[in-house]
Amino acid sequence: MKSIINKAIAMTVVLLMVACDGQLDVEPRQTLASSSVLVNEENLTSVLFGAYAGIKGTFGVGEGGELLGGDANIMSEMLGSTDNVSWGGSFSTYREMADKELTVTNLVVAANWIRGYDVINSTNVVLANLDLASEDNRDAIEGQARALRAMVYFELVRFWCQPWGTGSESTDLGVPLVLTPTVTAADADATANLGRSTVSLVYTQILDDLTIAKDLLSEDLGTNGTNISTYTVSAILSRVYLQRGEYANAANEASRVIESGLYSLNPNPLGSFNNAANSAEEVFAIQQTSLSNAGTNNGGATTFYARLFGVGRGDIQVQQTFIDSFEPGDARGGLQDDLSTTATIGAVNEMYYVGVGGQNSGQIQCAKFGDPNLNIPVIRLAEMYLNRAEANFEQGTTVGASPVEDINTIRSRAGIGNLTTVTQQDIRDERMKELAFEGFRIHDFKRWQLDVGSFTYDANELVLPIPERETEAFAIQQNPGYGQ
Amino acid sequence: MLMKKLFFLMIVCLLAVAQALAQSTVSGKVTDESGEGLPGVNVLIKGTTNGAQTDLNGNYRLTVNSGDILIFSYVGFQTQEIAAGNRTTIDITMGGATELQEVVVTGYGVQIKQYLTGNIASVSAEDIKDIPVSNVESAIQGRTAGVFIESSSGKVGEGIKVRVRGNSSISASNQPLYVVDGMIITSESQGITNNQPTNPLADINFADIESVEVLKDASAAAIYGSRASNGVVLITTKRGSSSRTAVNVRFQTGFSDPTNLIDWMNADQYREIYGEATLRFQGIDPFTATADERQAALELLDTGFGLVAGLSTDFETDTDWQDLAFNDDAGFTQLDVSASGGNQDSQFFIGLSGLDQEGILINNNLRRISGRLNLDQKIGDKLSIGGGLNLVRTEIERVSNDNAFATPLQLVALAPTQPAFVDGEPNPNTIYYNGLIEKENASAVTEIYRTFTNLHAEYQLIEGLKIRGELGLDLLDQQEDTYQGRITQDGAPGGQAQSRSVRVANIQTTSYLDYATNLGALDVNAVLGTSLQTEKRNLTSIQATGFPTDDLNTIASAAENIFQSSSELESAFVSYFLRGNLKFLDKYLLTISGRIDGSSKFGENNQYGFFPAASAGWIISDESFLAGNAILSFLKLRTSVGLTGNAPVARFAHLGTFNGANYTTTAGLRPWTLASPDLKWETTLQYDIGIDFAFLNDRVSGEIDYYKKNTSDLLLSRTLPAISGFNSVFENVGEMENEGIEVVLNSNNLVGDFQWSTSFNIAFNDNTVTKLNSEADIISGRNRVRVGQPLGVFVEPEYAGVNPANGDALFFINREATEAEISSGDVFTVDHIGSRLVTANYNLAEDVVIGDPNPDFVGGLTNSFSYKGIDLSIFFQFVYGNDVYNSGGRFQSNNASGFVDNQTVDQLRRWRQPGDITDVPRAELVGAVGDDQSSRYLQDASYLRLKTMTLGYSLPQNVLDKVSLRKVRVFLSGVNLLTFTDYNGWDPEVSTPGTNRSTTVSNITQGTDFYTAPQGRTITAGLEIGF
Repeated sequence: MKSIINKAIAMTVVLLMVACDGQLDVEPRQTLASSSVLVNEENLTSVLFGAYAGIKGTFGVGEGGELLGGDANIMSEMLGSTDNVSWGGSFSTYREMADKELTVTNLVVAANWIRGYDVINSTNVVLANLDLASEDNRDAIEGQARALRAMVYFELVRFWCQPWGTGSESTDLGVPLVLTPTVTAADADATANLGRSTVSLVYTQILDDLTIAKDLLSEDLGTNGTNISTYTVSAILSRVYLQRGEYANAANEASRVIESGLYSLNPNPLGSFNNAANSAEEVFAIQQTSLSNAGTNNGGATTFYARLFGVGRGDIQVQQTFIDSFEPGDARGGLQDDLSTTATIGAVNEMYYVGVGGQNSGQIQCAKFGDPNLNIPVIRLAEMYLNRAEANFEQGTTVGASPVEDINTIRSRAGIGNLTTVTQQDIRDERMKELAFEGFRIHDFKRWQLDVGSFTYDANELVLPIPERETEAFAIQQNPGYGQ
Repeated sequence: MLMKKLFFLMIVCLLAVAQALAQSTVSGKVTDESGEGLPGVNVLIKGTTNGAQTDLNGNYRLTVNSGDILIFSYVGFQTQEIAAGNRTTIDITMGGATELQEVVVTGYGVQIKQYLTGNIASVSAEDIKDIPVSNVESAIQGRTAGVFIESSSGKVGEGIKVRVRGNSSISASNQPLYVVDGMIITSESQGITNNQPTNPLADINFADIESVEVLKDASAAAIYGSRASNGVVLITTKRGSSSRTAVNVRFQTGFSDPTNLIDWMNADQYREIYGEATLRFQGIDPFTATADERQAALELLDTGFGLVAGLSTDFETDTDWQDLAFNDDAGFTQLDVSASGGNQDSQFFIGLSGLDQEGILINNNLRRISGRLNLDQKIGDKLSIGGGLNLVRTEIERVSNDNAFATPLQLVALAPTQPAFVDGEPNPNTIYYNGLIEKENASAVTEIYRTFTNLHAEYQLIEGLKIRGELGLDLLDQQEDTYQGRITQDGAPGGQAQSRSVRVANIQTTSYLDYATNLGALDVNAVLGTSLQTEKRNLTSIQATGFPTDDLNTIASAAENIFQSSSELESAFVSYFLRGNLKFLDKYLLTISGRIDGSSKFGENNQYGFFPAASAGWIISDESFLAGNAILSFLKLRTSVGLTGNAPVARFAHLGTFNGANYTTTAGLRPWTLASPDLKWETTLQYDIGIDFAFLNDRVSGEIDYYKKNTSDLLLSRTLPAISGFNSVFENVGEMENEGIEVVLNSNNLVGDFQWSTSFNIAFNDNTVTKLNSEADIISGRNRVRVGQPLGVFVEPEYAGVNPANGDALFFINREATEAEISSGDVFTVDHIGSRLVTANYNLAEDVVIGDPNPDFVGGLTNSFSYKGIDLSIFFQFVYGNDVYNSGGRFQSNNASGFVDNQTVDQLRRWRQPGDITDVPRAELVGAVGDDQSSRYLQDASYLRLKTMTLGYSLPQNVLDKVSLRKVRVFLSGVNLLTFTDYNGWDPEVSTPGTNRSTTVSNITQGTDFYTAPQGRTITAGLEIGF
């Protein structure tokens, strides 16, 4: 008996002594090793959708940088704010924008810069691996990747550089043009040597990507029903051309979208907003769901624009003077002041409302963004009418329609009377009312070379600083006015 | 069987030889100080191998010669030598061992302290048993030299920082490795990264703990290889002894309150400063403003801006928000029942414990129930088996992280002019969210079930050689349920719930051979073994909104999921280890050890690492020239050198990966990490040289150590140009040094009836980061990692004071000024500040090192007194030379130039009119005058704390005999009783972990205060009964 016990013990001990190498082969479950990603079209398409997810920013994990999911809008509206709106929140990041006193450590500035280049890298990965795509799908994948890359560069060049129109675009500092994917740490290090391009070269790259994408893409909105189509690209092109003052191209591209017949104005101007699915008017919108959105607590458009029960912080406060600028009966300027303290966006039926439900209640809020889980329109058909009207007016043409016709299209939808003639100011006023708080303001002011309060359109204060994390990580030239 | 026969034969031979001399028989009984018979005591005739062991009752019998000297030795007791003479009966009482003769637990073995060549600090259960805290780290805080322990806040059940000989890492853990009864346990936080870390060590009931050993130098720690760079904490639980069953009952209960409060403005002061701030905002000089203008300013804040409702009408309310953040019923109650005993073959220890700690903050408490069974059984002469089973349930009610309006201490930001409650309900119309709403409408409960199980078998193969196998399981099962009701900030409109469960299964097998032999003057002990550890961590988390009512708040009732996540992470370590101890002539000591660690956490090019160490000791006092010295009773010189490692925290840091990034319902992938195939452990080369000494018959003893730790291959997330699409890549590139001196002094000042002993320790550590991967600092909030500086120095512009002309905040530019800056007046000097150039434009001021969160030295001083049945122990703990940055300062003390947060009273000394000399700038609503991050919010946070004091009285033996009890003791015990500091925040022991925390952020972000709860002061009364 004893010897059996002894043998059993000895065997147990020997078994315990055998520690084997196999135990060290552990594979990740939540992430995919890079080597197994870029192997087929399905994964390539997933990377493309990762880029779509990127332009909206990510939910929750604190990376910030909602880009087209909110910050591109808010940064523009705050930098462009005069007496129309005020920042009433405690986040100094956005207050610095409203005050035009930006610091190089501004976290929102840094997060959007990082997010922008994160998406650019995703698109570069897709574009460098197009050989994985089948003949049938390659054009669609390439076209979307190029369009996304151009959209991001367009945001970067407008926010971080002197505006187009200074006359010195070919020497004004652009942003670094990164056009190849980062695969290894050495690739990443190499980007440090790129330096800042010029404003004019960045725009050239944007137009290059967009014109190629326009031809590669069809009307098809993809499996998602909401992807970038050839008309989405035209809409973006019309924006880019308008920003460059190339009116003929701007009018043509806007007209191409309008005349596609795929889009129509909603009966109510508020109809484009707070929808779970695109309405007839959206040419492109950030798609959101409760599990995939640009932030619910401390980020994203709704967080800062809304002040409803349990939704938003009410930090962006519209001023009465702005409401007063609307003609009586203008559906784009209605103010609702009788919400109950437990109202959510469903109870709001005017474009503006007096906020309820917590801190900052009692201030005027814009109703365009009232639920963090609903879509965020990026391009609406209404903008195309306004782009065409302005472009036609500036060069004295009537591509598609006369300026007064386009303006009246917009006005009659808003429920106000037609004009018989329009002036430049009329067109601009209409644009400011129609597209208010959709992220156009600072870019339009710069385009029109108007002062923003006491700052001239090309003031250094209206250009975002290169984030300090970048100037400390490598030799990149800081914008004038930020200590270098 | 053969061995037994051999042994018998030997005994017979010895007896035969002995018979030949003039012999007699001596017998007697060996007892401990309480009169209890001591079994297993070695009784040896000096200079021979002849001897005997005492039996179960402590009796022995031995044949001796008249000139023989008997040596009585027993682990844990002072060895005694007694001349046999002509006596036939020798009864002795063995006293407790001196410091030097104590047995110290080392990894995979034990060692008598006197023969140690490595540096191991030890704390016994006796020293900490009365302290009313819930975790072992708090209990040993300040008691061991070179071990710096700091609570991150006064919230209960949350992570505690332990640094053994400084920080040795930036991105990997700086916490020591924790080993309980031979098993490496899970010790890192398992909570969500957005809240304070949880503390898996809080699951250990420290009434079960026999001793805590901290392995500090390389020689002691290297046997734990790639995880030993931060030191190793060995926790040994109580085991039974072969004696009569002893039952112990301890009950302790008391109350807690905050160590300190801050003076906040009352309603009148608040109105005064914000009235002034608003007038200045309006362009009216507050100094000449009329009463109407003042009232109009209040109205502007009140109804005009809608910022502070009621400010211009309600002059009655004066709310003390700070008071409302604290719990009036805070306290501590613990009940321990234990039994231990056994016979020579079987021993047991059973411990049951219940603990209820009500934190000092509202909605914050910890309850723990723990049961432990430790068994040891001998089977025959050669085989022994045993094990331990510990089941624990810990329930923690938690509050929000420091950076949330909902956290209790952010209540202090609210206006004192507004009522806390309206009609009995929390006022919903406060300037910020009223955190009191959380009290009734939100809950966050973390429930943890923990099992520590270990089994071992030990078999003696031949004389001196035994093999031991151990199997251990540490299972941590944690369920976190939070619910935010429909009227809370995050829960509105429909309520929001989160359910998160984590399971960490940590399984370990260890087996080793232990060989001990005596070759004349040379004693040899060798250990050779292997170990395999696998860890698997599963997590599921789901967050949902929209509940039918607040009472029906499990996820099943939710209308919509808003977040979901799950993960499964695995890692494995395969290890081989070896150690040899050589002892020559009882005075020349040598230890060598080594471990090979392989891990799934290391990159494919570096999967195995080797960690060798060597140490030597020389007991000089045993040399002839010192032997018998009347003053110096012990002197040992020792030195060690060795390599240890620190494994990365991330399991797959070496792989390049893509991560899921879905767009609506379409699956998406995005580039996530760049590959780093060479990634390996961080390496620390540590030297230690020390002396152990004792004077006056060991009445005074101590240790002095000098060490140097050079850490290289620091795992750093090297900042990449973000334009590459990646923020960083993980590489082994950095270097760091720690250099320090530790001094321990123990003294028995008075012996006899009135006893007084003193124990003092002090440790100086100097930490320097010597190499990073680029010129750039690593930045985390205010803290930075900068070459040539200690880890986590504060870098911000230096605050210069206030411009007497206009009340502007001024900052030193700390660089050469350009001519343009001087001619434009942007940069200038101010008379009362001096000749250094200052600016009111914050952006023009250079960022400079303004402070260091690491202390220059830390330590503790214990004085223990006893007289008859009375015992008194007074323990002071100190930390010197560290700075704390109050990140909340820019809101709490911004001279009313930010938003409308209530202010600390010291802001009343703001600048008011030209010519005022003060350090607080002018009040100007949203003027942001001096509220930028700067040295204005940095302070020295050195402190001296009366950490614990215990006063006890034990009933004398004659009374106990009458009631048939073994022991009755009543005591008063308190913790954090008095704090002496210049820090003017709540408490100088502070380090908010922040939100979205990573290990790197935790390591760097030291000494930051952000509405962080102070420590609790707890005073308890207790009763201890033994029978």
